[in-house]
Amino acid sequence: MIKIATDESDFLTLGKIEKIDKRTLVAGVGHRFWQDYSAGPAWIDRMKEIDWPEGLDVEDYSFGALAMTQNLQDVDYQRIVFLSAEARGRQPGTLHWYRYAAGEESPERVQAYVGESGGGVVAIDPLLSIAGHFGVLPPETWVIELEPIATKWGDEESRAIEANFSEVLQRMRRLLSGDAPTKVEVRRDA
Amino acid sequence: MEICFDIVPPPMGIAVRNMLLALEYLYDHPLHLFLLAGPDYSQMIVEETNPGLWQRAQKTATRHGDAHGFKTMGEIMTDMNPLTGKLYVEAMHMTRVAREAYSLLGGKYPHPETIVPGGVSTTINLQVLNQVFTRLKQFFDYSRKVVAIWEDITAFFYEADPLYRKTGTRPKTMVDTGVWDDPGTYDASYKNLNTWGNNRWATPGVVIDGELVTTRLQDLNIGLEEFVEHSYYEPWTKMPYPTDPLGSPLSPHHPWNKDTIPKPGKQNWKERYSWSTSPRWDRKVFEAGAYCRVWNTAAAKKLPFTRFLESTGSSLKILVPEAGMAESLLEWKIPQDWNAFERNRGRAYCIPFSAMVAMDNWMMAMDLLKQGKTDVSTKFDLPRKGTQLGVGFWGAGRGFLTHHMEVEDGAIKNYQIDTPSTVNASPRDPMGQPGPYEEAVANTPILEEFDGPDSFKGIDILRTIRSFDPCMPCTTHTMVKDHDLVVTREVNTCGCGVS
Repeated sequence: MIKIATDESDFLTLGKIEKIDKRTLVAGVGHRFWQDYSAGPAWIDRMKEIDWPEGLDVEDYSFGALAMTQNLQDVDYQRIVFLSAEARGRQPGTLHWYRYAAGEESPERVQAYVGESGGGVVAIDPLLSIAGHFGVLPPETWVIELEPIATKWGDEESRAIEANFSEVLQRMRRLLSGDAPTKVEVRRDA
Repeated sequence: MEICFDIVPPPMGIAVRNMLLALEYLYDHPLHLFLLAGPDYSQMIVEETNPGLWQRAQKTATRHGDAHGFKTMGEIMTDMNPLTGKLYVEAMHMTRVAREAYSLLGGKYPHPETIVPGGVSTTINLQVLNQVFTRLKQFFDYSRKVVAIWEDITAFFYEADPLYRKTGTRPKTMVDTGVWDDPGTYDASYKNLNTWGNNRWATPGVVIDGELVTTRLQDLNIGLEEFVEHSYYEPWTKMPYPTDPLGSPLSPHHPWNKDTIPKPGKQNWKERYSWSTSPRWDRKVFEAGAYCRVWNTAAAKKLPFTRFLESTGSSLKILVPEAGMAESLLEWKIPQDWNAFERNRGRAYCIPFSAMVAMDNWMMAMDLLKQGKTDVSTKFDLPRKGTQLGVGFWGAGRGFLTHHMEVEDGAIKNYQIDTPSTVNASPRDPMGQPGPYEEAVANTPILEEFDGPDSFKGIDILRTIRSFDPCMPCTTHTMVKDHDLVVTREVNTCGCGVS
């Protein structure tokens, strides 16, 4: 069910979190100017306007998986939440979340993603794969993901990005307060 | 834009811009040599595609062990294994070192925030320059090592089978626009572009069948054409510019006359089959690459003042200062053969080449700092009336890069970019000439050891394509003549995609 984010109380409610339970990174991943695939950076831009408590870093991670993996080598995050959009055959415009467990991904696939990243592709799957392979993802790694509607080049997003932002914040709130759902998909790439 | 609007950057701005570009190359070349193309020469791949070659590698002593520390070719190949090899992991680390240095001057990488028409917006002080230097210095020993590794790889394959000299071969015809302006000469004018172009640390030039035929940027510009007969674009009919700003004739196919009219369609090898256009110079197929930069510079003997480089006409000598290892003189010689191995070897030499250009410009920046000449950009106003033409001759990590712009009444009316991968990936032109990738692949002998179609991996073809350092995740489609068979291989994978 798409919620329309017209009520600012969601922002204010989330902004009143006093304390983060563990060092957390919220990172948007996606190409700008690619309609709904820009959801990650678009959400991060809006989240940067919120006054977050200490212990939470809000960053745009749309700069290539190799570089972002090296960034993650520097800081010991205990929780990472990636925000992104990816077409996976789900109902367009819907929001999903899953926990990512770095598994036994084949070297062929990881190296394929290295090649793509070196060639300029910015997407959540290469980042998860490469960062997971090099062991920089904490055990609690989440992805909040939009199934895109509009997927052409351009800055005309569908309403799905705006419409789901409130729900993104609500899910963030649950994760940051240690109230993560137990019955949720765990994705292991192998 | 600088040529368009007569904006001349101050010397410090040019020096910083030169350093930024060199640092970008120091990020790009190790990435390619060890993370993208390097795995093609690793134990994991060679053992599978050419078991005999792997056996030989384990018993073959290296020639440059004093520089890289490996005793056998087998040891080098093992450390080039993707994801786990020490050379792979080290290269990944060195890309970070280069990016850190870049970010100190550019704000971030990619998408730097400090590059502006007329210079840069970086604040330059002793602290920044020292922080850049501590990272740049790490490339002194690293570049010695990388050059030695790729010299050994090239020699090993040539000796193992002389047919490897034909892997990825095509005519020695290439173009580079040159990069790294000399602050004393660059005046952002089209009128003087031959003068300031010839004073670049990497000399512009056109090489035809191994001979450097011109280093004049104007010649390079007016000889340029783009064709779209086999691309997903409509041809254009207008020709607003019959001449360049100096009155020399331009082709209707010149970028200043080009109109981009996309025409998506079904792939048809005989008609349209690529989103790349077909850039040509004087109607000749040319390739682009970092190696073209070093070739032109070696042949031209036109370097500006430099402490570290010498162009002999047949080679480029690079003096790499002492770091952990002693000072050394590296020398890239213009090769007899031209193929995938020489492309990678030339690219390896571009690491010390770029590092020493960065050093020259770093020392210049320090001198300027001492003199108090710290202005990094020139203010400018954009005219709101009239028509202006501009062109940028620059270089990506992969080589030749041009931007042609037409401005009318303060707004961009036309903007055309030719990238090195556009050049290299070009489809056939209307004269029937295949593009560089196509030509190189068609000339490549199959040296892989395989039993039948099912076990064929295409490693020789992959090495060929990757030697161009394609800036795109791409796929090659190899047609078999008089057959419906089309072999498709993704090039963004390493060779381990073959298994």
